[in-house]
Amino acid sequence: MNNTIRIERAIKKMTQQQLADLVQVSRQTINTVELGKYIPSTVLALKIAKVFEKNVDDIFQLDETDWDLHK
Amino acid sequence: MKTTTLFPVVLKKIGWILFVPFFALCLYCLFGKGTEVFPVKVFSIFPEFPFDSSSNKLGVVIENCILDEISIVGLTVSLLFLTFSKEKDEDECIASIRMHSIFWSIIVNYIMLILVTIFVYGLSYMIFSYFSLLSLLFIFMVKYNIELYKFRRSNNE
Repeated sequence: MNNTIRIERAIKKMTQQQLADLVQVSRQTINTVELGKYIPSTVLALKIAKVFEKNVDDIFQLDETDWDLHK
Repeated sequence: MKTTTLFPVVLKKIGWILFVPFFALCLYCLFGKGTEVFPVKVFSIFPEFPFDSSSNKLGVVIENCILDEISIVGLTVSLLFLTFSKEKDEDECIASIRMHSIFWSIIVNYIMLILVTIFVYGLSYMIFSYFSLLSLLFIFMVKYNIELYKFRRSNNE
């Protein structure tokens, strides 16, 4: 899954720590989500989208590998 | 998001405090004379092996050296506190790391147990069986803490 958190943070001039505090997770969690190492829960994805005042699918997009998980 | 029910944060520190002496006690029981000292009377449901229903010995008071029982119970409790206590910065990503570590350690533990069953015999097998009572929690604790350390070191602002 791709995401545009880093870009959205840059637009809002927000650090990982500031975003982490707003969505009540650790900074490392934001880092792993940004890098695509961890897929956030629906609740966390909704919280992140709310902080950036966007829809969830503006921030998170499925990529081709997401359809190949069980192959 | 509500994560799995876990012990409070403070029990992790207590887990470390308990782990060191009970781990040493377990090693003493395993390789020293821990099973020959401190005999007391204890209640036992199955005092003998194999259990024989005709011998009428179900649930009796027997004499036993309880150092090995204390060490196993103490080490189990300390490992449970160490692995199933909340972290200070507990969130869904740490819950995910915990779940992955449990999965990994179950696989590794049972591969080890299969190999030991195939290749180890006699008294050595009994020693490995004693160790295997706690090896799952022990492997889980090591894997979980390594993954947690890697996670906390990740820095890519």
